Amino acid sequence: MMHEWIPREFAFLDAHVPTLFVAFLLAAAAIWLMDKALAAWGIYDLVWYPALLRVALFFGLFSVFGLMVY
Amino acid sequence: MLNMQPINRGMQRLLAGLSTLGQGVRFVADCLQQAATDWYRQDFPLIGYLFKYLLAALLALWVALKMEMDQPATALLTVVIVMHFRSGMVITKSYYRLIGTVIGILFSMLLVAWFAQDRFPFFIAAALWIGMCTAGSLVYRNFQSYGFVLAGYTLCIVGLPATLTPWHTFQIASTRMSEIGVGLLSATLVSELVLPQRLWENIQAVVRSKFRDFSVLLGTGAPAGLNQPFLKFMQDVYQLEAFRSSAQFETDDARVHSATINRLNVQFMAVSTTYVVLQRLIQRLHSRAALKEADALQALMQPLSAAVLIDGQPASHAEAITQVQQAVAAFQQDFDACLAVQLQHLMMMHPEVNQLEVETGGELLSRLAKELAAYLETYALLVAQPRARKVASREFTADQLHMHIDWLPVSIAAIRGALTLLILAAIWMTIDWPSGILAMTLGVITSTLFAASPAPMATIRQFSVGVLLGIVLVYISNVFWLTAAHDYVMLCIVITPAILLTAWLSARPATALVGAGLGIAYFLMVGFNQALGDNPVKYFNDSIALMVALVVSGIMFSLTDYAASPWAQARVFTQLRKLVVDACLHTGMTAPGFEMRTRDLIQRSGSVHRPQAAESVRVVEALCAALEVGHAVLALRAVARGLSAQPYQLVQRTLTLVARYYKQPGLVQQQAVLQWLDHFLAWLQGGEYADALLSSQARKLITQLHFIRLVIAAELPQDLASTSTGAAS
Repeated sequence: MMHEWIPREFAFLDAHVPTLFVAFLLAAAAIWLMDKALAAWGIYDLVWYPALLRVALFFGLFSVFGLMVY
Repeated sequence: MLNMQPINRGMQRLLAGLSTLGQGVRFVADCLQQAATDWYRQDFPLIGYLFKYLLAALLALWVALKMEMDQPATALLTVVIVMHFRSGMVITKSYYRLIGTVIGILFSMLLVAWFAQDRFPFFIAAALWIGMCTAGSLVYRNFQSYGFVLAGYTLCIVGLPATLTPWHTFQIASTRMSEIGVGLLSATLVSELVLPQRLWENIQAVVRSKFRDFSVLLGTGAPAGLNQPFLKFMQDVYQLEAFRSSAQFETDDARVHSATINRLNVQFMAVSTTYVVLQRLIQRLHSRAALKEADALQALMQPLSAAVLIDGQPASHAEAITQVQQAVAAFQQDFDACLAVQLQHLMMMHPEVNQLEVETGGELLSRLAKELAAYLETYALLVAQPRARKVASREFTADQLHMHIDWLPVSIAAIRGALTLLILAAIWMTIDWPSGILAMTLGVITSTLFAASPAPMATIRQFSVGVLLGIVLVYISNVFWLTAAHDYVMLCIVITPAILLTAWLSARPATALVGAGLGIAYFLMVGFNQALGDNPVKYFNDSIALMVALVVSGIMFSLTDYAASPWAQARVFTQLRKLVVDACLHTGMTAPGFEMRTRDLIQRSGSVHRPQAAESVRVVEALCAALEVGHAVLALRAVARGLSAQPYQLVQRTLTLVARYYKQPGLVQQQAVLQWLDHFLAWLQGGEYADALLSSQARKLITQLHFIRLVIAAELPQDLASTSTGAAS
């Protein structure tokens, strides 16, 4: 599995950074891109609560990335 | 036989009574429903907002406590700073706050790494940084400006504590960053998910009301002068821009329509300016007793005014807008014929009338109709709400709103920010002040946050009221309540009153600053950071520090209150003239660019916020005059582009003379321009240009030159004297 070879912490300029933080940033970036696409394709018009969808997507993606680490 | 009559009568009465009762009940129900709708529309959003505010703050507090962060109050302070009615605004504000914080932290770490061993270079570098941040907060608009404020403020909450224990710098920086991150995340999450208030409704409301006001103005004319409506339009333009710039993180239509809104704004600027210029021309004709020409122009404009309103009302729905569009298109088509008929009519009835005035007005009118048609087209696109996919395929880009930056007030603000920090730092170092860092923090917040305020003294006064309120509240909560708070729920109960009061005060525009002061002071001082409970010595030291910071920054603001000084206004006039000079000489200047720069200059001068004041009226007058001549000059240059060498040189000479006049306004220069224009016009009207010009080109040149001549000739000698002394002083 992936979590066997992804470290939970790594040194960035001699500072310990949790890999979860990187996962958070990656998820945020991915959602940012996805959000643009969803808005441009008008998906948000079909959804009852667009903000909830967006937040849910983010947490889903973040959890996926997080589970890769742990 | 039983007599049924009384029973029947009784039944009838009963029925009548019941129906009256029914009516009464229905009436009461209607009233209640009405009241409920009113309540839902007016008061419910406020209550919902207070609820969201509280929820976000408590969530941030819970997470910060759960993660055992050093200063949970920093997370709360972050929530207080970024919370806003609209969720799009919260996300945008958080975004810029995050950027500002990251940059501030990086700079703090650099600063500590370089100068931790010596305080003088440290504070000089810190002062330079604060100066830069203040300047940035003044140059940029809306929440971008906010990012700079935060970059400065972060230096105080990370860099200054780190100087005391340099070996902990990284730890301080990372915990502050996490606390701020927790605050930002809970604020955005709560305002996105709980009762979200969308920007798109605001944007539509502004767009529609702007259209309505303008239609009414165009359809019925302005009864009480043009300055007030023009100022109102200007405020609307910038408000719409503020909304638009915050819409980039929204999920709704606002983001998709961003380019359309921008384009609408630019087109609206153009059409409102042309209308004002035309009305000023008519007024000028009236004041010169050229009534025939003025009447002819008004008669020409009549069909356009009639076209904009439908049964005396501005168009409200899509069909009505289409109808108005068709009417305006018809007006454009018939306009040349109408103008010819009107001119002929004038020639027959009043041969003494100067036709050129009417032609000049006609040129403006056809420009107005063209711009109005373009504005209507974009407005219809926006209001008819086509679906997002169609919007994405709209291939246009509108100009960005250009900025006009006046470096003098920006540098004054930068110096003020830097000096405030240095003065407080000097006090800190001389008297070994335990609360010096807090004082510097508040001093930097006030001097960067209020740098763009049009009336900084009043702002500081309001903010101080909030800070005093916060100090009192902190005393009550630290001494009486916090000592009894043994768990999370009790802690929440202790801080809830302060949070709600802050939220309520900052939700009302009149007391927004009081709310900001209260929130900032309370959460800077509240006693549950390292250890729960009260420490009277620290409390009094901190309160005195906040007061000293306010006094110092108040004194600095009053010493350098640029916007209220008489120079500022003289400088605005000079700069307006400078922009006209640029329009004459600078080849890169376009009409929308010129328009936006002039408006931005006036917007930044702060006059827009005091529409009633006499000097604001003068400023708007000057703005209109500058717009008038600037657009005429740009139109002249557009005509000149297609000319052959000889007339082109003549136009260039005209432009040089006009530029010289606007650079140094004076009677001599005015006479020189007027003489040259008379000479040029006479040459054109004499028809000696035969082979150098087409007659259509000549007509265009004549109308533009005549218009410029009218505007310049209308500037009165005493105005010239006052502006030239203003420029000199």
